[in-house]
Amino acid sequence: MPSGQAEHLLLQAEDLPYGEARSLMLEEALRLAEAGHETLLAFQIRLDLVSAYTLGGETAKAFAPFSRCLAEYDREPGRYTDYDKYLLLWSFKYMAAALTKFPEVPLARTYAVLDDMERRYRADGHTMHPVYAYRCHVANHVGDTDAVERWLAKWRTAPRGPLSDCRGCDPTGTATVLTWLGRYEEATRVAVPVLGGRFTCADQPQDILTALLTPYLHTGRYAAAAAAHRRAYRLMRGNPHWVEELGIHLEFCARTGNEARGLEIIDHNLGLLDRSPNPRAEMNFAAAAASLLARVRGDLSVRGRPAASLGAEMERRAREIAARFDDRNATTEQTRQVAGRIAAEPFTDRLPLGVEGAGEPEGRGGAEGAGEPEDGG
Amino acid sequence: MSEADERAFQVDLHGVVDLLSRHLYSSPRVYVRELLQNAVDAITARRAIDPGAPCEIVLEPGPGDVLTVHDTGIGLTETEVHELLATIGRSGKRDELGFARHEFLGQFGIGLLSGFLVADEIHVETRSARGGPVVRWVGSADGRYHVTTLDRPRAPERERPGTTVTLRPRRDATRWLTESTVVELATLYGSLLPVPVRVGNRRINDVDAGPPWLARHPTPAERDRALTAYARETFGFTPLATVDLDVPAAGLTGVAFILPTPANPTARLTHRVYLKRMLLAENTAGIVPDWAFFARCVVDTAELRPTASREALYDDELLEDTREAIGARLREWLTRLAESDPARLRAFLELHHLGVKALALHDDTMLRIVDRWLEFETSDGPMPLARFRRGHEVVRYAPSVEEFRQLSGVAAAQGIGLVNGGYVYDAEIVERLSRLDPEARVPRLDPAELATHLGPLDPAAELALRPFLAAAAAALEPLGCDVAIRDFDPAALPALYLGSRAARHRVEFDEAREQAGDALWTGVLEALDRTVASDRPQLLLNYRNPLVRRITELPAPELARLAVEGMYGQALLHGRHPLRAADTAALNRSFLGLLEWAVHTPQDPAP
Repeated sequence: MPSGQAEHLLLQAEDLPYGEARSLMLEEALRLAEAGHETLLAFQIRLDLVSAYTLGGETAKAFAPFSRCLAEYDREPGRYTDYDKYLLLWSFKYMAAALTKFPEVPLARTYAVLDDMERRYRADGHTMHPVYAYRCHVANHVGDTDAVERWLAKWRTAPRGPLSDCRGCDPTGTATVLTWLGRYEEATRVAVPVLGGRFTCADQPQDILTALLTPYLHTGRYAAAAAAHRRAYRLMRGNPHWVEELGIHLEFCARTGNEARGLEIIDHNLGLLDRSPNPRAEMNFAAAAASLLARVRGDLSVRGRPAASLGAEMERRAREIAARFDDRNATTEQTRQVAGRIAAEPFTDRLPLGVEGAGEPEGRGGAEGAGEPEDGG
Repeated sequence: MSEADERAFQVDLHGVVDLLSRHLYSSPRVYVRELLQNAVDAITARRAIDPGAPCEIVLEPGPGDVLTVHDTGIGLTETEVHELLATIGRSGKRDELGFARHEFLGQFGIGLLSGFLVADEIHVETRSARGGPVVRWVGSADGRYHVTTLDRPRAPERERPGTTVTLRPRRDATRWLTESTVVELATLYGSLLPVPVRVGNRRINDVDAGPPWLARHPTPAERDRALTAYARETFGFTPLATVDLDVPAAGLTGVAFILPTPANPTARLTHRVYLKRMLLAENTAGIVPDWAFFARCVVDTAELRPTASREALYDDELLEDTREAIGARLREWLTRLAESDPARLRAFLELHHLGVKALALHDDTMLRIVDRWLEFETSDGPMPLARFRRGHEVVRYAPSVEEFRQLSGVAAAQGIGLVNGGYVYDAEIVERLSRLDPEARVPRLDPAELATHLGPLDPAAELALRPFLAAAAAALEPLGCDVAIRDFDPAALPALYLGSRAARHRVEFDEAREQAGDALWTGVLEALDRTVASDRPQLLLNYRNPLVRRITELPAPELARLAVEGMYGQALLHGRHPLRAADTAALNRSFLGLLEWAVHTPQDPAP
């Protein structure tokens, strides 16, 4: 095997957008590195694969390389650079976020991983800011309001650090949690400082714009919601990484009288459901699709299937996964959420999505919204 | 002199200059652009109230590298001069400078202060078109300025309305004010300005000509030649084609030049952007969609918003819409090319297929163009998918290059057309094509499915081989590989190793579980076991191959075992699969063992 080929592929892969092509290239690099007994390089490629799978819509595949890297690191920490360690600690967040999305994994395991993450972050002198954030997300998933409030307060007052989510992603998380708590006005506010800025993270601005859709609608900022939908959907369509968020766009369409646009979204993205990154994403997309299809009158067909029958299948799929989550969590939260999503009433009869280019998201043109943030993250 | 009025800056001048030079602008050279911008704005404002007003900007490099800039703009009244810096005084931070620019005075003040990038002292003499005396403002970098009104202007130009700005260079900055540099910078920034600009007696721009892409030409061919020359001069290449751009929402016009050589899809090309005919930057990224990495553009926009430094565009929704609109123009051009000039389209695709593929992932029209015109690697050689499908009853794609190389011969021998889906985007394109059009279905080749296309043995023969197959399975079990025997072409191929991505993931997953450092992760992975498919790679022995047939008839089980290990290693090498440590060990064991058998004489006991 010509030496350097694995490394070359690794570098080449890092230039590709996240997705199957990038992951395949890294897998090939890993095979070459293993064949050449380049164990340090293999370690780095596996760490890269953890991000590639997580951000490329193949969540389930990230666990194996992560646990392998962690075990290798623990056996001989002295072999690795500070940057390796940093990436490993960073990847802990992916794990903490991903584990709850698989009903197969008992909740106790997720808490144990969070504890391990906290222990390692502390040992390395890092702020607890990201740890509180991910504890808050888990509490949110389980539906424990008290715990959510408690962790949210700690999260929002802890100092940021190098392991914190970037300045676009962190408020996305906050907005999502606040939305779940029904604090919509506040949710729209956390985004203001970052909107209109320059983002350096591959997930932004589409992720934060999507997180704002529901709070915008609840607070009557319809034009801002329409603009956020247009801009974010364009960046998310067709990408398995965004299956769950595409569900939020469907919900937006269902609740603003934009059934035709919603059908277009289903038509374009339904194929993604078969390679959904995780069951939670599948559940949320399916629930939103069911809600939209239920509003379609007449005997329309979507992808060669009657809307009603597709809708029924989506509802069944969503409820079935929700039940598995609730079994695992010993709560009824996910079933409640799915039912709520399916039965959600429209905010308005018809919100015109407008010509491209019309309307501005909230916060832009305001003193805090414009200007350049010091960094994207 | 009627009245002298000296006061300290209401702003921390040193702070503002520091902010401008160290944080806002990338180079002192922008001072020329800022002064030109002030002059253009002033002239625009004056002509709004007096359409017949004179219209000219003159830069006069003088002795000692003192630079004087005259404009015939609206001029400032005494009150305005006093207010000049107050606007900026409110802008203590970089973010807010962008806002200050929205007002005429704010822009004027910031533009003027940028003079301190190169000057120690700035003199302004201005006469408002709305009447009043000539006002003189002198500011110096130490933080003081004074304003006086003059009965007689010092600059003869100021007998009439307008503004004269004089920069006295800082000692270390004289190079920015020499005549040749001023000419170069004024040409760079101002060559498309709609207002006549001179440096001394030299004309910098031709106001009547307008931007090259809007200029009139007697014939389309002549226009093409002119734009080609413009591309060479601007970007240094002869474009494969030129596409006109027009985005009314952004007040944008321009041209996209198609690169004549393959571009690296990951390198973001930069474009030359003018804002209301003033050069904003020569290297702006992000005005075309990522997939259009084969185009370099020159555009002039009236509506896109510049960042505070006026060196880049703000990435807002309008820019995103503009990007999409420019993408749409390029796409229309491609569609038209497919209809009118297939030869040119093919030449284009040969160079820039990656961009078209990236676009085809979201765009049905492009997908059809790709299907019809773009060559894929197939088991019949390179050809477009549409043509390949016509020649085959069953068409499949291989998800990786190595799988394609390894399997295309075997697949073709079974009448299965195989497409290489291993290059970037190819697999996604083929998948999407299948979803778009049931007629165009090209499913993924599942190696296990290929195994079913390979002929089974006669049942009696297979039965007779069961002891051999059991021994072969036992030999490959430690390597995590299944074994089966089939009867297929090409007969020259003894064995075929069929791996799959799922099988590799299973191996990776099992290894991770074995190696997990603690009970925590062992437990996590165990819980997830069900989510990972339990595929295993497969070694298919070819009964049609004479060597394989003789191996199955070997009397000594030990020798058969070595031969199976050998064929396993050979199949891996043939398929260019990297060898794991265990594979190398098996290959070594087999090689040495077979050598032993080869050199032992019948009198010896078997090794």
